[in-house]
Amino acid sequence: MSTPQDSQVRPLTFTFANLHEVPLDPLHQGILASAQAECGGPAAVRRRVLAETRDLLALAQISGRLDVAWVNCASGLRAKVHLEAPVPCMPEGSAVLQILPGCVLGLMWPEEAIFRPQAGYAFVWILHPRGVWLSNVASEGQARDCQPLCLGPSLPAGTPVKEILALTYAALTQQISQFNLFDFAGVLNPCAAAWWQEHADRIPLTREPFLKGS
Amino acid sequence: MKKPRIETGPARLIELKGLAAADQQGWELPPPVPLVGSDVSTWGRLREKSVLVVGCGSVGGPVADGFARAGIGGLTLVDPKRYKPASLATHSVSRAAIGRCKALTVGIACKDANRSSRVSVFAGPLQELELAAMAAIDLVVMAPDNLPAEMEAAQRCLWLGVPLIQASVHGPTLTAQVRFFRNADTAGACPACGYGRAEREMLNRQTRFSCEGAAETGVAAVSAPRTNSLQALCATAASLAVICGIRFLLPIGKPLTDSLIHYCGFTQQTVVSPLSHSAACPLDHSRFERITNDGPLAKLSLAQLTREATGLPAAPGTRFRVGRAQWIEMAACSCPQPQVVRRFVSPGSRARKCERCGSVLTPLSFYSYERPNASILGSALDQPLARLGLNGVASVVIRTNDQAVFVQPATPQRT
Repeated sequence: MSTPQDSQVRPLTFTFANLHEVPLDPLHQGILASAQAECGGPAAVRRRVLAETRDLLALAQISGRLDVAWVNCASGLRAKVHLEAPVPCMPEGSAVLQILPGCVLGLMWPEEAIFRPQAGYAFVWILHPRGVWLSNVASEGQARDCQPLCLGPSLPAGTPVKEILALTYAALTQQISQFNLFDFAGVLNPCAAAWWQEHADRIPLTREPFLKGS
Repeated sequence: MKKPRIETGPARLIELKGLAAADQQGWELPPPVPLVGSDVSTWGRLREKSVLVVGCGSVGGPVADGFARAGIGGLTLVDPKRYKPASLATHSVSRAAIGRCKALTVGIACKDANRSSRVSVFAGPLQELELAAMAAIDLVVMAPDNLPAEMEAAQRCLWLGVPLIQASVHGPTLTAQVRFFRNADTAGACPACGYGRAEREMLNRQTRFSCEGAAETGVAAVSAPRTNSLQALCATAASLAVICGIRFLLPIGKPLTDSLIHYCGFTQQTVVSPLSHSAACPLDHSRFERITNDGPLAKLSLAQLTREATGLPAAPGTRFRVGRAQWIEMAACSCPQPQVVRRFVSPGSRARKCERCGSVLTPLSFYSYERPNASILGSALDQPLARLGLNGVASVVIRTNDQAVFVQPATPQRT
């Protein structure tokens, strides 16, 4: 049976479930404070957007694989983050698969996402590197927009940012992969889908969980 | 066989042209008989009123028709869809209408019935209609087939303080329902206040309520079982909505409050019950303060507009919605790096080209903002909107933490 003393000495283990309890370090606290100053909109929306921003910063602090470079809460949450994860790339004109150690993501969480389902490609853009070779990322030739990452036909209203990041990690590392060309859900690059079907033995690219050491 | 015309680009609000004033003589509708306790001039007040109908299907179509024949002054019809073979069971249209745009077909019929009425149609989703197009509307009646459109109409009416009537039917129980939302203040009810778990699930599944059920819906959306109710039931809901609307617009009878009129065909009973606001409502119940500006908005900067509207300079968190334009920070072209744009771009406006490579600049979604704030706009805040890519500006919404102001030019602008 645990005693109050036990809980005081035992180091807290943070998971996706208790991100709100993570005490932010001065760096992340500063980012949150500047986001707070710029956050606009109705009070209920502001509260939710700032709570999501805090979760994102807490996740960056504890995950060991996420760095938040920039956050803006002008209209929902937008953040530029660096994610450490194996990212398969095949630049145009190359036939060799390269696995890069990380990527820069543009994360967009519109305030409409609080109460309306959003398309699965509306949340995450891969800003760097170019030529990401995944079935659910539009190829460079198809989309001149930053490469949108499709997380499914749609995500339910109110899907938290932490879940979007977990889905993103799973999609990039192919811990979850969808390369059935006849399934409309998520295939933005049919060539990559066909390629991964032939190289299914290379999936997943890593079995490491999102939270390092968990 | 004539090839169907392929329409591209965003939908536009089009006013249907009627006959010249001289030709209208002899075509004016006789007003209905005087109401008990009032004279025939009471009906004349309807000529000064405007109604917007969202959804021109089996319920919305007869609603528009009912208002037109009652002598409404202005009618705006919004529906992105076309008639299908199954529409014949519930809509008062002929087989020849299959494939035609619902809003336009209903609009032409309304204009034909009442040539003195100003009829405008928007063959796109309500989400794409400029908010300014709703500013002069006295009443919105909605009967759409999906919850996002319902929420959009409810949200816009809350912001602008426009009364809303929602008309719907439930075929299996022979039920017609009309909800009236006065939107007199921010404490009133709205359609989303009544949403429970079932509605939230339907919203998440993007359920559509169509006559044909699953057969009609595309792969991405989920369809409720087919909803083609008895045409008479749809007409009943529409008639109840029109009577409710006319009662509010004239106004006649007991003042209307937020209420649900429930008619059941099995029991022939009509029950009226009050509707109340829910604290858990997902919609924003704040009200826009409305102001008009004498000159064209494009000549002013957002900083000037903010000072005029709020009396204070724009704080970093002050955000703006300029018509339907998006603030584009960066765009892609054939150059290796994205190009800095920092301009407003309206939907359907001509694409700009890169000065270096000459190819079309494609706005990057991650660097595009529907509602940029002062910190994103930076120095652009002090520049006239015309210099930021906007020639005609129909409206600007300025939102601070405590205030939301809807600014319109005194004379409507063509965007």
